[in-house]
Amino acid sequence: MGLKLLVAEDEEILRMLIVDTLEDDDYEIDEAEDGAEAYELISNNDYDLVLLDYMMPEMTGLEVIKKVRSEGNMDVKIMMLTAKAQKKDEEIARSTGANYFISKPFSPVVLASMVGDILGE
Amino acid sequence: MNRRWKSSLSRQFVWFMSGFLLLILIAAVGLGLYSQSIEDKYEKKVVDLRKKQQYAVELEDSLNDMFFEARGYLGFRLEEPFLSNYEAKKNSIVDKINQLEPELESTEEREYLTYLQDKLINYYKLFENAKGQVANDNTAGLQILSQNQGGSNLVYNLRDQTRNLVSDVENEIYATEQNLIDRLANLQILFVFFVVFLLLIATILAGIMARRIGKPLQELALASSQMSSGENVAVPHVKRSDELGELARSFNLMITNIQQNEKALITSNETLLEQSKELQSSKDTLEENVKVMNVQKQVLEHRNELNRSLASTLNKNELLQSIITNMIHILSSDKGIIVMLNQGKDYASLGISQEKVHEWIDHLTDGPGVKAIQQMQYHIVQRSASVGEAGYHGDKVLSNDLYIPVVSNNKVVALLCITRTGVEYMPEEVSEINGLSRQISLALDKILLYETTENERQVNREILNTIREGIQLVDREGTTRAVNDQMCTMLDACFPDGVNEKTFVEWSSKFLVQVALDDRNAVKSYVHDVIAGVKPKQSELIYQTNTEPALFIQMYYEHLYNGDKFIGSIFVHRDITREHEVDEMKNEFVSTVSHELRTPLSSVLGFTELMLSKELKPEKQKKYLSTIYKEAKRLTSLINDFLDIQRMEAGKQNYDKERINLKEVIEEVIDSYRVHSQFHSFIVEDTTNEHEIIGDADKIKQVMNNFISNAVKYSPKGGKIVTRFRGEEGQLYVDIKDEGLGIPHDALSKLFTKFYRVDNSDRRQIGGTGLGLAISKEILLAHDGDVEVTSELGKGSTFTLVFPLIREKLPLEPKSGELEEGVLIVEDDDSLALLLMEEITESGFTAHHCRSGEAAIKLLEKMTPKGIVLDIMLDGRMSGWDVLKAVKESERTKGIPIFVSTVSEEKQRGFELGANDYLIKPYPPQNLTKSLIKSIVNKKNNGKILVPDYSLTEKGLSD
Repeated sequence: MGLKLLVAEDEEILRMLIVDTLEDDDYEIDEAEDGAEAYELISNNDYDLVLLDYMMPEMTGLEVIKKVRSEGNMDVKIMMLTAKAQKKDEEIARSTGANYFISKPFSPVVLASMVGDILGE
Repeated sequence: MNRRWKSSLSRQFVWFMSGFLLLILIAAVGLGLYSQSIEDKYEKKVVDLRKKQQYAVELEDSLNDMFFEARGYLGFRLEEPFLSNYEAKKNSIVDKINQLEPELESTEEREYLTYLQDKLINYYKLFENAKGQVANDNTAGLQILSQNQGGSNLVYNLRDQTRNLVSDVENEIYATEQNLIDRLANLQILFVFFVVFLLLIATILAGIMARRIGKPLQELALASSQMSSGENVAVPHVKRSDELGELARSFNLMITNIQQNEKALITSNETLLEQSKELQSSKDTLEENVKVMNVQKQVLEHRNELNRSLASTLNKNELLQSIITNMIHILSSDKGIIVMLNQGKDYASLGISQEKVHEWIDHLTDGPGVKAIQQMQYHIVQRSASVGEAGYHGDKVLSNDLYIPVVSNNKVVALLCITRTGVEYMPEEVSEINGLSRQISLALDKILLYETTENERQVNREILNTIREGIQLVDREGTTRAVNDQMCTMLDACFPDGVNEKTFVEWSSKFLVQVALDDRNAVKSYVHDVIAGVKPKQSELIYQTNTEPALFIQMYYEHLYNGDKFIGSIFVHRDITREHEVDEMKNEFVSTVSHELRTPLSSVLGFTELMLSKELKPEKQKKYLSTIYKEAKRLTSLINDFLDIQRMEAGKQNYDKERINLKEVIEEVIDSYRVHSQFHSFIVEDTTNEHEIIGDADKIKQVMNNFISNAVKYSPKGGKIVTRFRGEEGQLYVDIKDEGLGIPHDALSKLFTKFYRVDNSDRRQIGGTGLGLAISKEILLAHDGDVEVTSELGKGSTFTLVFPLIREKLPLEPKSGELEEGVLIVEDDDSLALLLMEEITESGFTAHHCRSGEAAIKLLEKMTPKGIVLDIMLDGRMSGWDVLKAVKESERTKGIPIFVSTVSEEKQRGFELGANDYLIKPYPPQNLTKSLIKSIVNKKNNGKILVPDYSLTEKGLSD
C-alpha cells in the first residue's frame, strides 16, 4: 500500500514540478490549488505528509496549519514550502506547527530525499 | 377721714362706684318684693274664688238633682229610687251650703244664702205636702200645689238664685285678674323710672370724676408744653395731696433740675470755647510744620522711587524716564533731560518739547554740556529765563541749567541737564546729586549688560526654535531649564501655563504618557540614566508615540560640563517618522520582490535539475524545456518591471517626449494583438479629431500593451475589446473596454498598487507580475494624465486613460511686431529646449535658444527679449543665478521678465533675485506659456485678440 501525500501549491508549474519529482516513488498524491482546498482535503483524509506552500489565495499555508493544529490534528506531518526564506519565517512556521521547512527555490533531488527520509522513518 | 378721702383719687372712685351699686341693689330688691306680694295676693284670692265657685256649682248641681228626683217621684210615684235619692240630695245640699257658707264674704251673698235656705225650707214643706198628695193619690191636689202654691216657681227661683251665685263668682275672678294686670303695668312704669334715675346718677358721677381728674391733667400738660417752649410758668396743683399732686410735684422738681443743669452747661461750654481757640492756634502751627515735612517727604519718596527703579527696572526707557522725573522732583526743579551717549542716543525728558530735545541732543558736542562731559564734573550755567520759563513775571528772572555727567569706568555714559528757574542750586544740593549720579551710572551699566544678554538669549532662542529637532535642556536635578518650540509642537511636552521650567516629576510624567507603552520603560530608564550623568546602554533610542498617527522619534542626548563638573543634559528628539516609513516600505518591497523572483526561479532550477538527474522521455524533456523558457521569460519581464518601478519611484525615469498622434500609437499596439488573438475582436471607435499630445511614444505603447494584454488575459472566453477615443475640455480620453471577468468592487481601489493581484481561482491561470498597472499609472501621471477604472464582476471592465491635449490656439495672442525680439530660452538640455520652443512658438511667441550663461549674456548685448526662460544648471562657468543677477543689474535689461525653469527647489532665492516665475522641472510646458502670457502680454495688451505669426515661429526654430 502506497503512502498518501498532499501537494498544496497555487502555482501550477511548481505543483507539476513537485508531483513530477515525487512520481517515481510509489506515492498516492493529491493536489490542492489553494489554502481552503488544502484544509478541506487534510480534514477529510489521512495523509502521511502534506507539502504546503506558504503564499496561497483563500488561506495562506500558515493559516491552514494553524486551523488544522487548533482542531487537534497534531499527527499529520506538514512540510512548509516557501519563498519566504528568512530564518525568522522558518521559526514562525515551526512554532505554528510545521514539522519541516524547505525554502524556494528548492532542489527536487533534495526534496525527494527529504520526503523519502520522512516517510521511511 | 376727710384727709384720707382727699389723698386718693382711686379711693374716691371706689366709693362712688360702691354707693352706686348699693343703690341699684336696694331698688332691685324693693321692686322684686313688691311684685312678689302682688302675685301672692292674687293667687290666694283666685284660690278662694275658685273654691267658692266650685261649691256654688256643686250646690247648683245638687239642687238640680234634687228637683229632678222630686219630680221623678211626683211624676212616677215611685218611692224607689226617687224618694231615697231625693233624700240623699237633700242632705248633700245641706252639706254644700255648709261648705259654701264660710266662703261667702259679702253681705249680699250671705243674704242670698239665707234667702236660699228659706226658699229651700219652703220647698221641703211643699214637697212633704206633695208627698202626702201622692200618698193620697190626689193628682189634682198636686196640680194645685204646683200652680197655686207656686211649687214650680219656687223651683225656678231657687235654680236662678244659685246660677246667679255662680256667675257672680266668675265675675269676681275676672275682676281680680284685671286688678293684677293693672298692678303689673304700674310696676313696669316704676321700673322705667328707676332706670332713668340710675342713668342720671351715673352721669352726675362721671361729671364729678372728670372734673376731679381730667381737668387738672389737662392743666399739667398745658403747663409742661409751655415750659418746654421756654415760658416760665408755675406748675398748678402742687398742693394737692392726691396722685395728681404727686405728679405735679415731681414734674416741678424735674423742671427745676433741668434749669439748673442748663446753667451748668452754659458755663462749661464757655470754657470749651476758650480751649478750642487755643487748640486752633496750635493746629495752625502744626500744619505749617506738616507742610514742610510733606515737601521733605515728597523729596524722600522720589529718592526712594529713584532708588527702586535704579535697582529693579530692566527696561531702559522706563529707567531713563524714572531718573529724569525723580531727579527733577528731588532738586525741586522745573524741567530736565537725560541722554545716553551711546549710538542710539537714548533719552528721556520732562517739561521739554520734542523739538527742543532733538535740537539739544544734536548740539551735545558743541553746546554748554561739553564742559561737563569733558571734565567729568557737574557744571552750572546761569542764564536769563526764556519767556516760557519766566511766565507772567515782568521782572528779569534767571534760570539755572545744571549739567551732571554720569561716569562709568572713567567714561561719561550719559548726561543729565536739569533746569531751575528763579532759585539757584545750593552747593549741598549739588554734592548730593553727585552721589546719585554714581548710582545712576551703575544702573545704566546693569541695564546695558542686561540688554546685551537678553539679545543674545533671544538669538539663541530663535536658533533653537528654527531647529527641526525638539530640544530640552535639563539641569542635574532633572528640572527643565529650556525647551524649544519644536519640542512643544512635536511632542506636546509643554505646559499650557507657558511655564516650562518644571521639575523632573512634572515633565517626565507628561512626557512619558505620550510614549507608546512598549517603549515607555526603555525611554524611562534612558532618561533616568542621562539625567544622573550616567551613559545609557544605547547612545540613542527610537521610540513610538501614542499619538494618532504615531510618530517615530529618535532620541539622543549630550551631557553638559562646566570644566569637569557635570551640570546637566540636553535631550534631542528627532522626528524620523518619514524615514521610518520609507524604511518599512523598502523592506516590504525587498521582501515582496524576493518572493516574486523565487517562484519562477524555483521552476527554472527545479526542472533543470530534474532533467539533469532523471532519465526523461523526449516529450517530457520538451515540455520541461518550454516551461523553463516561459518561466525564464517571466523572470526577465519581472526584473524589467522592477527596474521600471524603481526608476519611476526614484524620479529617474527618462521620458523622450515629443509631439505624437496618440491614436496612431495606440492603433499600432492594437494591430499587433489582432494577429495573435483569434478569440477576441478589436474595435476602435473615435468621436474626436484631436489626437495630438506631448508624450513618449514607447512608454505609451508600454502602457497600451499592458491594458490590452490585460483585457485579453482577463477575458479568457474572448469577446469584444473596444478602444474609444473622445475629447473633452482639452483632454483626450481613451476607454478600453473588455467583456471579461470583471474586477470585484473591493479590489478596485487597490488595483494600481504594486504587486496587487486580484486573487480568485479564475485568475490563477493568468500570469503577471502585479506591477503592470502600477507602472502604467506612473507613466500616465508623468504625462499629466491619469487612469480610472469601472468594472462589473462577470461582465467586464473599462479602463479610462486621460491625456492633456495640445492646445492648438490660445485665447489671447500677442500682436505681431511687438514680439520681434521674442523669448530667450537658456537651457543646456537640447531636447527640453526644443520642447519648450515648440510650446511657446505655438502660442505665438518667437523663441531663441542658447546653451550657456555666457552665450546668453552675449546675446543680450545685441537684443532685448520680451522674456527669458532660464535654467539654473548650465554648461560653462556661469550658473542661471549669475545670469539672473547680471540681467537685473543692468539698467537696460532689468525690466525683462525672467522665468526660472529648473529642477532645483530654491524658489525663495529665485524670487528674491527678481524672477517673475519659478517653474520646477518637470512641469507641463503649457505652464510656461501661461506664465509668459500673464507676465508679458497681459501687461501690455489688455483684451486684444491676436493671430499667431508663423513666419516668426519658423525663424525662431531655425535659430
